[in-house]
Amino acid sequence: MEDRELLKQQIEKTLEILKQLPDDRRVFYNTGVLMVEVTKKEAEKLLREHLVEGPGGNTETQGGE
Amino acid sequence: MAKKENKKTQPTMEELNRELRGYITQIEALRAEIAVIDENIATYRVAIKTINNLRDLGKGKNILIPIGAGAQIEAKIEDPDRVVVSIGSGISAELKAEEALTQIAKEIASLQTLRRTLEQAIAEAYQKTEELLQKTRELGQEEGKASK
Repeated sequence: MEDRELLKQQIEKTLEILKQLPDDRRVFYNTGVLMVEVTKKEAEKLLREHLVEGPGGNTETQGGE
Repeated sequence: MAKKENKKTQPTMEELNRELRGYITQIEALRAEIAVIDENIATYRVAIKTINNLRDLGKGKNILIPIGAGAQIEAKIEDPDRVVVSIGSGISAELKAEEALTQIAKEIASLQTLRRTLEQAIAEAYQKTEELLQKTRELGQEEGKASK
């Protein structure tokens, strides 16, 4: 199976778990070495972005050439 | 003519050896993968033990959190019944301790299933290796006889 397909499956699995979580549960997003608390909606949005861009996300530097 | 056909169907010693090396490499790779799975299972078991111990000790206990390089920072357990668990793709979610234990148990079960599949693959590769060794021995004997 392709890496892309595996990634898609993993993200869909995570989205499914997120959906099933009660609303009072806190959710964290792992960014670099930090875990940032996010809302469920933000987590879903980030995961959907991963689906489009891949886990690297935005790695561009500001003002870089 | 018959000799020519025989040459076509019967693998040479070199081909047998190449196939044999392939299976040995495969066995080594599968063993390495099993070792990684075992490490992961051990980590999950440590997590189960930690969650249970913290729950037994209760709220307000002081703990030391390793921050690397042998250094530790002191913290207080606010609520041992709340555990943050990775749910994949860089997302972690707060679960009740019971839910976290169930989730971890599921992960262990799926790793054990994968481990069994890999063990089965190793057994099959061993079987193939044995067959190839037997063929190699037979071919060696045939070649020995032919050279006499």
